[in-house]
Amino acid sequence: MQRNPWERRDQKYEGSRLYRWLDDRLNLEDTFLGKAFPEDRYSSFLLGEVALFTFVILAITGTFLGLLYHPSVEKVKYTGNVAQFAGQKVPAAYASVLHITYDYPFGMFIRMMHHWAAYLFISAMGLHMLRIFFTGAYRNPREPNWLIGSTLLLTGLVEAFMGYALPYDNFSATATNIGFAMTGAVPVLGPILKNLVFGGDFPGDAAAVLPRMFFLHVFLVPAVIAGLIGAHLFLLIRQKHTEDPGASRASPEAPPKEDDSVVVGIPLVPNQAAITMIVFLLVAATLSFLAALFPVQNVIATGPTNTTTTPAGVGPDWYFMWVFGFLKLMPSKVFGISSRLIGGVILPTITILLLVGWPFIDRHVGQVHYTANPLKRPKQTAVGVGAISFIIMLSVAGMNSTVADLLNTTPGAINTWLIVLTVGIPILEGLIVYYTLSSSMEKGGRPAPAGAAQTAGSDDD
Amino acid sequence: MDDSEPERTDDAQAGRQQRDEVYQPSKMTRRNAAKFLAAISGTAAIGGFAVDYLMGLSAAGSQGGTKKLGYKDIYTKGVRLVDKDGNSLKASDALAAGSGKEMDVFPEKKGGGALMVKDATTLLVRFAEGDYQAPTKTDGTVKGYVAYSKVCTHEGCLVSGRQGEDLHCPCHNTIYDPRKGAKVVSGPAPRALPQLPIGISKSDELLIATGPFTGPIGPTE
Repeated sequence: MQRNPWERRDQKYEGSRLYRWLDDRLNLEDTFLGKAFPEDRYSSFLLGEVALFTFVILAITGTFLGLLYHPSVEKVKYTGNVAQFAGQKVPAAYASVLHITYDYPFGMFIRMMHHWAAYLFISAMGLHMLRIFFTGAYRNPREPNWLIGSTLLLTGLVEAFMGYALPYDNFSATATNIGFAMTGAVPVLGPILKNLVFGGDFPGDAAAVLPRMFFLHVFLVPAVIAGLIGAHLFLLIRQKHTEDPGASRASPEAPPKEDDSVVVGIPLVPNQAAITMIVFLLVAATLSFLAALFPVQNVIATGPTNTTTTPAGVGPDWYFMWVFGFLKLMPSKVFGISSRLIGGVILPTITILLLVGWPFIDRHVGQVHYTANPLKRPKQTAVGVGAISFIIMLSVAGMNSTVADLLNTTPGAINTWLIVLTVGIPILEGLIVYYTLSSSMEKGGRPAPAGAAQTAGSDDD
Repeated sequence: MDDSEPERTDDAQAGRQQRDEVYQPSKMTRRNAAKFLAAISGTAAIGGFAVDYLMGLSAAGSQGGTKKLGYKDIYTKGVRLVDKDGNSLKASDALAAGSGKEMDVFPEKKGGGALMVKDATTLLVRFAEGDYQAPTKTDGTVKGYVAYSKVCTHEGCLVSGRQGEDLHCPCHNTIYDPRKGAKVVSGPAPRALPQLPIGISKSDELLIATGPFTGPIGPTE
């Protein structure tokens, strides 16, 4: 590798015997420890790290839970602290979750931490993705990492679905049931997929389904996630961060803005390592706080699974609410296509394909290494804002029973309105953003040449 | 391969030609033929393994557990309707006449007891005898009782709620009208709940099925 003229050789560790010992064997003096982390004003570059550390915490807490959980639907007599179920026969899986939560020291804390970490994992990935989207960091040459990243988000959702099922309470069994039915609605491949993923009929063959979901949740899917994270980081190191030169090259010593062949930032060791440690501790502290004070998924309230009733007010966790919206908004038939196919399969698939394929929709022929200013990319920013409000509106539609209760009416009465709003609000917001940004760019007096969105976006302010 | 003009081949041209032979996949050379065959056999080996692997897992899944009951086998003619504890139901007092109330019933297993599997879960509702309109099959109702499958035809939840007189599925808010053949009033479900034709036994006035469900149970289309 060619040495850059402004890269100062770090002699700081030459006095350390440990460093020298490692360096002799691993050639640390290579560029890796000095990998540049560009400064950014909003700390939004740390969202990916938050997701990464949350995964670590999920693995640690998940190991605790996995060793104590028992993936079986066989009825066993529960003998523990929960008076409501003491002496009763409940599914072994449910009993083991009761034991973990109420009978083993620290079990409740670890389980809540795992659940909150799952929420944070999904939301950190989502926010990280939005950062990438609005700063245009998905552009050539970083499309492969957008593909890997969006696949990670989807794999995270699959992982969450598998884990949600495991306590085998009445809510989670209903969710599994819906997922099972939705899989069956996939044309042609449905029956094979159903057997492949679930390993039998649900709830009929729950005795076979639960162990399979447990294995998928604790081994196969996490292994895929870990592999994808590895690939994601490898590409990040190989391609380097995008950089906001307005922030990172403010000092007069910095290389000129015209030169985007190098990245300017603080080195991985020691500066970024210190920041990273703070991020990790903050993530751990936040999750501990949430886990200690805000319990989620109260399996006592929902009770063990009951194959003859579905509880009122049943719904998925927030990250699947948009799919629920698609399911709820569909009338029985749309142009002769069943609501199950169009609401449960076709529309979610289109949404996912648009998300994953975005870098190929917004294609860039030349390579870009600087972040874009979202205020100077009216088209892309409008699409991003529209997409966010689309997902929010779908989630609101997914909770249409609650909305109807608030308005003192029935879900059937507001569904047409919800359909109109779910389609209309994102388009309206997108148009407002587009015209506001376009006109403010013109007023800024800046000559707007063709392709301004691509080139002008790269310099700051 | 084309050597019709050997005299014009100087060194540079020969080099280019050699390179072209290596890099042009469309050109029919021995090397490309070998690559092609290797690719085919490699794909066949890996693909064959992958298909076997996945189909094995899938097939094991479908054979893993209990045999799924077909909708025609859950109730047959003469099978008694029982509550979840296996008690048979007297037509006179299972539900108050004309009340519009509902309860869960199940087919009685051979030798007694309720067959408590999801697909067999049945909703028994009692309105007044004249309340039923098409598409309810009125000869499948008796003394104001009507019975439907409890499994929602949308995504397989259980229709456990009521909204006024109607039946309400709590998952995605499908509303079925029990007095009109449980047809979909609003919500996403693609079709009505299958009806179970019922009658009463002559000897002891117990509720019995007079035939199987009228259609497939749960999400099928």
